[in-house]
Amino acid sequence: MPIIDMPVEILLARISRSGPHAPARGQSEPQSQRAGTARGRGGATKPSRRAGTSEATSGTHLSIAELVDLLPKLGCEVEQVADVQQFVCNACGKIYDRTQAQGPPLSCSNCGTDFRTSPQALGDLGPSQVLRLNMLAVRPDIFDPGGMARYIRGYLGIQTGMPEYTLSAARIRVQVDPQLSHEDSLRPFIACAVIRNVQLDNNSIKMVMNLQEDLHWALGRDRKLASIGVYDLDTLKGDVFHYDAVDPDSLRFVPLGFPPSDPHSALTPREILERHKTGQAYAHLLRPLKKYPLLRDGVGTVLSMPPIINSETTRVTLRTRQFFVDVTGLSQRAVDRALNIVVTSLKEIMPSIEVECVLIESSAGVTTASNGAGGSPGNGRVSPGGVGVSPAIHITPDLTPQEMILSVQETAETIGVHLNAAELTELLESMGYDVQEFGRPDRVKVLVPAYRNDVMHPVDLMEDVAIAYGYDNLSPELVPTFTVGTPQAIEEHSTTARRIMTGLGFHQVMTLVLTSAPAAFEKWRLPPDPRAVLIENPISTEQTMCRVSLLPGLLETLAINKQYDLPQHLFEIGDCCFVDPAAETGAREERFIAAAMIGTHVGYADIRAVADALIHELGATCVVKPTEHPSFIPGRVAALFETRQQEVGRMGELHPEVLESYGLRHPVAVLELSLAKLLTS
Amino acid sequence: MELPQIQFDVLKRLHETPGAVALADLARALGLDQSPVTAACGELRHAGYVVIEESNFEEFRLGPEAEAYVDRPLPERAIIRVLRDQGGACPITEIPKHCDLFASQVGGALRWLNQRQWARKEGDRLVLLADAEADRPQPDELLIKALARGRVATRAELESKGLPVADAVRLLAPRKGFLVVKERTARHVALTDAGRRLLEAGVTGRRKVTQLTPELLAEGGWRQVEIAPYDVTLAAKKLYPGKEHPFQRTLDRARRAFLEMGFTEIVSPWVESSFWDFDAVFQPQDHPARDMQDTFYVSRPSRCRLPDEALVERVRLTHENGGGTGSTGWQYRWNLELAHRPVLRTHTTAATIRALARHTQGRPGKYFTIGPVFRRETLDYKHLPVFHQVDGIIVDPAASLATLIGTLSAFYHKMGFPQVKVVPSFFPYTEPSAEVQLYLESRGEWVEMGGSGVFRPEVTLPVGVTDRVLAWGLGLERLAMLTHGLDSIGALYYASMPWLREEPLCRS
Repeated sequence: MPIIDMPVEILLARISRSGPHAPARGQSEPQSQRAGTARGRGGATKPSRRAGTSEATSGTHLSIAELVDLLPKLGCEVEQVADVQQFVCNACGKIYDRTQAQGPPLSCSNCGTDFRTSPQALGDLGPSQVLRLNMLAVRPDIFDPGGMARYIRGYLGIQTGMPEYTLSAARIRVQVDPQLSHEDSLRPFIACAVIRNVQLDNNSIKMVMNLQEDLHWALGRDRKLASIGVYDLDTLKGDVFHYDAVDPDSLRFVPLGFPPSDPHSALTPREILERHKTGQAYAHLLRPLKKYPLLRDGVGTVLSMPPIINSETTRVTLRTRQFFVDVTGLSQRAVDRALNIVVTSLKEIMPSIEVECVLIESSAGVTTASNGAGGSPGNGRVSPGGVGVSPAIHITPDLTPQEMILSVQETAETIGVHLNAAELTELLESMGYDVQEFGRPDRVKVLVPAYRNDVMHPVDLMEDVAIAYGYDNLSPELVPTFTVGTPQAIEEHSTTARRIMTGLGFHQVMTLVLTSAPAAFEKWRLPPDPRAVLIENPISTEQTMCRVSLLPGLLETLAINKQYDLPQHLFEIGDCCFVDPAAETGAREERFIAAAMIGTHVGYADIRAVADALIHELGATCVVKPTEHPSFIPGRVAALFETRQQEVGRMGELHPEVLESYGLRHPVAVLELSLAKLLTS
Repeated sequence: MELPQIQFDVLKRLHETPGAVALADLARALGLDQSPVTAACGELRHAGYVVIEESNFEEFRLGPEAEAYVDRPLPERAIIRVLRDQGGACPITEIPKHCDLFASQVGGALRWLNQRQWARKEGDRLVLLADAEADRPQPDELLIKALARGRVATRAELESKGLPVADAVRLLAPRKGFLVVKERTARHVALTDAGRRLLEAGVTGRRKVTQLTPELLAEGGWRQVEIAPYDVTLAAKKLYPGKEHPFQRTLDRARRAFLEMGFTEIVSPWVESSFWDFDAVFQPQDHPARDMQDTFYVSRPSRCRLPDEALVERVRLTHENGGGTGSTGWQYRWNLELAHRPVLRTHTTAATIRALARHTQGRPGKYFTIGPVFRRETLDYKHLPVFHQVDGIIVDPAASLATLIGTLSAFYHKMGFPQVKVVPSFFPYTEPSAEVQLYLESRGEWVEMGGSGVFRPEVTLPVGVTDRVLAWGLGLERLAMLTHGLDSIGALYYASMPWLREEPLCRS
C-alpha cells in the first residue's frame, strides 16, 4: 500500500469549503436528517458522521483528531500525524515534506538533481504538518488533498452526489504517429488537456507534482502503463501538436534539471537515457524500442520524451498561468483514468481554473489496437462489449460517467442490513455517485464518476454503500445454516502422533519448510534428490528448494542448542514436498514424522525403542531390516517396512561426518518415517 | 526408652567426661559437625537432660593498622632511637632523614612520645627524656607481637602467657585500627541428674536413616529407625515434560475453533499453478503481487496442468472483459501460458478457491485450511519467506458483511482475543473487502491480522457458484508471537531448548 503525505491544513481547508462544482441534487435537503433515516433502518444506532459538529451543510470544520478518527472508516490507515520540514528543489520546483528522521532529500525524484553535489539547489521552506496515510492503491482519485477533500465532503454530507466539472471546447489538436502502435516503438495511447487560469504557489505546485508521482505509481505501474507530463503552455506555440516515434539519435533537447544556457545540456534521446539520472532510472522502458516517443508543439519544441522526462524549457514555474497536460501509455484505460483524475483533482485544488479539451487525432492503427482486434499481445485493449466505435478523432478528457444498475435487495443482503431504494440512494450519493431511477423499485441506476478507477462491477458500489453505512455500525451475526465439521484424517493422525511423542518425553520443533541442497544433501553425504522441488527465483542461498526430509531441520535445531543440557530429545511432524508427474501441479506433499536424540550414551537401542513405541501406539506394525545409508554408521541403521513390504522409513545412529558437519560433539540417533505411508497400509 | 542416635551419643559422651564440655569440643569428640550437635543439645536441654551454660568472653585480634608494626618498631620507638643517635635531641623536621618515617608519621607520633613521657618538644626540636622504662618492650608492643599474623586469642589465653592485657588495651585503644575486640559467647554443656538417671536406666540410641529401603520394610526394621526429616521447602531438580511446540498449540487452537463451528478441513498443494493461485481469484496477470519480486516461481516441476478447459476459458473471459459476470473485467489479453507457471502458493486462498470449484452448487458450505504460504520476503524479525495462514470460506445464502464480522469475531474469541473489528480495505478478489484487526489490551492498540471479504462474482461465477461466498485469510505466526510474547518470528522456527522446555503449555 502506498504511503501518502497529506498536508493537514490544506486538506482541512478543502473539506470545509465547498467544491468547485455546482451543488449536487438533493443538496437542499438537510443531510443529517437523511443520514439518520438510513442508519435507523439498519438497526444500528449511528451518531452523525459529522464528527461532533452540529453545522448542517457547509462551513464544517474538522479537527485533526476527528480526521484521524474518520479516515480509517474510509479505508485510509493513518500512520502518523507528522511534523515535517519542507524542502524545494530549486532546479525544478519539486517540494518535499520530510520528517526529522528522514532528513533532507539526497536527490530530486522529479528532475534528478543531486543535492549532495549541488547543495544550493535545495531550498528550505520551513515547517509544516502532514498526515502520513497508508492508502489503498485502487483509489488514486483520493491521493491528493483535492480528491480526498471531495471524498470526505461527500461522506460527511457536506456535498453529496457526483460533482460536475465543466469542460471548454478544444482549441489544440494532437496528431498521433501511427508508428507508436508498432511493436518496436510502442506507446500508442495519449490523452491531453489544457488548464487555463492557473495561479500557483509553492503548495499547489507541490500538489501537482505529488499527484503526478502518485499516479505514476498507482495507475501507471511506475510509468509503464501511463505517465503524465505537465507543461507551461505559454512556452509552446501552434495549435497542432505532434506525438511521434523518433530516431533516438535524430535530435537534441535540454532535459528537465539541466541548465538551458549550457550548450552541453542539449542531449539526444539516447544520451538522456545514458546521462540523465531520471533517464537512467527509467531507461528499461525505452531500451527495447527502436524509436522513442516524443511530444512536440506546433513549431517542433520538445515538450517531453514520454515516459522519461520533460524538457527544461517547457517546465512549470510559479509564474505559469496555463498548463498543457498529457498522459501517454500502453493502456487506454490507465491513460484515460489518469487524465481524468489529474484534471478533476486540479479543479479541486485550484477551483478557479478552466479545463479545456484537446482533440486527439489517431490513425486507424491505433483505434484498431484500442478495440482489441489487433495491437500487440498482452498490451492491446479488449473491448468490453466486443463492438466498438473506432473514431479517428476523439476528445480528451472524457468525463462521461459510467452507468451501472444496482439491485437494492442484493446490496442490502450483501452488507447484511435492511435498505430501501431511498436509503440506498442517499448512501451512494454520500460516496460521490449520482443515482437515477431505473423504472423498477428494486433497482437504481448509478452514475460512476469518470475519475473512479476501481468500479468494475456493481459489487464495487456495494462496498462503497457499506463504507457509507459504516462497517462499525453492522451487527455481527452468524449464518444460521447447520453444518458438520469434518477434519482431515492425516491431521487427526498427526495429533495422535504428537501425543505419543510428547508422552515419550520429546519436545516438538517446527522448522522452515524451505531449505537448500547443501543443507539437505551435502551435509548428509547424499547425492541431490531429483524429486526435490526447486525455486526459480530464490531470495537467499539458504532457501532454494522445498524440504524432502525433516531430519536436517532437527539437526539444525540440535546445532543451535549445543550449549544446553543433554540429553535432548526432539521431534517434528510435517510435510515434505516431492516432484510427482502424476499430480496436477507436478508435485505433492507427504506427511512425515522424525525424531532425534542426542546425549553421551545415545545409541541405536534408544531410537529403536522409540520407533517401536510410536508404531505400536499408532496401531501399525513394521518389520525392521538391516540396510545401508550414507548418513548412518554402517551396521547401525535399519529400514522399516509396513505389512505390504513398502518401505516407510529408517532409523539408526548418524555417521560421525554428518555430526561433524553440524558441529555436534555427541552421538545422535534418529528416526524418520512417512506417517502417510504407515497409516494407509 | 529410645533416643535419636545423636542425642544418645551426646549423653553418653557427657557422661564419660566430667564437668561441662564446650560444644565445639563435644562435636570434635563425636566426629560430627557442630550444627547437628548443637541441635541435639537443644533437644536434650528442652527435655531437661542437659544444661547449657553460656559465658561471655573477649576475643582479640589485630586491626589492619597494627599489622604494619609486627616487624617494625612503632613510630615513637623509631624516633627515640634517632634522638639517641643524634645525642639526645634533634630538630623535628630532620628526623625523617635519619629513619624510614615520613614527616606526617613523625608529627603523628609526637602525641604518643608525650604520653609515654619519652620525649618533649622544645621549640622546633625534640628532646629525649630517656629513662630505663623506654628501653623495655611496652605492653602494647608485646600484644602486637603476640597477635601477629592474624592470630586470634581470648583474654584468658593472653593473660595465661603473662601479658599485661589491661595495660596493652589501654594503650592501644586510642590508636585507630590497631585492635579489634569481639564479645563472644561460649556454650558449655553438662549432664543433669535427670540425664544421668536416664543413662543409668539403660536408654538406647535409635538409628536415623535417610532412605526407607525395601529391606527395612521387609524385615520391619523401619520400626527401629528414625526416618530423617527433610527441609521440604528446598527447591527440587527441574523436570520438563515432553511438549508440543507453542506454535503448534496456536495452530491446533485455530483448527479446533473452525471444526467446532462446523467447517470442513481442506488441503491444497504447496506447488500451485498460477491459474489457481492468481487467475482463478481474479488477480490480473500484470498485478505486482505476481512479480518475480514477490512470488517464488518454481523451476522444477516446470509446468502445471490446468483444470478442465471450460473453466479455464471462463476465467480467461472474466479477466478480459468480465465474461458473463456483469463485470468490465481487467481489459487486457489473458495469457494461457502464464497460468501454467508453477509457484509456491502465495496464500491459502488457493485451497479455498479449489474447494469452491468442487463445491456442489446450491448447497451451503463452510471450508477452512491451515498451512504454510510462501512470499519472497527477506528474513527479518517480522518476516520469513514461509508463514502460516488460516483461510476459510462460507457459501451461504445468508452470507453478508455482517455475518463475516460475526464469524471472525467468534473465531478470535475462541483464540482468546475478544475484541475484533474490521475496516475497509482492498483485495483483488473480494468486494466488499475488510481488514481484520484485534485489540491488544497489553499494547492498547489495534493490530492487523489479515484480510477478508465477500468473493467477487468474477471469482465465484467462473467456478460455478452463484451464492455469496465469504472469505478470509489470516496470519497465525503473529497471533502466536502475541500469545507467547515473542519479538521475533524467527524464535518460532529456530527454537532454543530453554524456551521449548520452559514455555508453559497454558498461556491465556
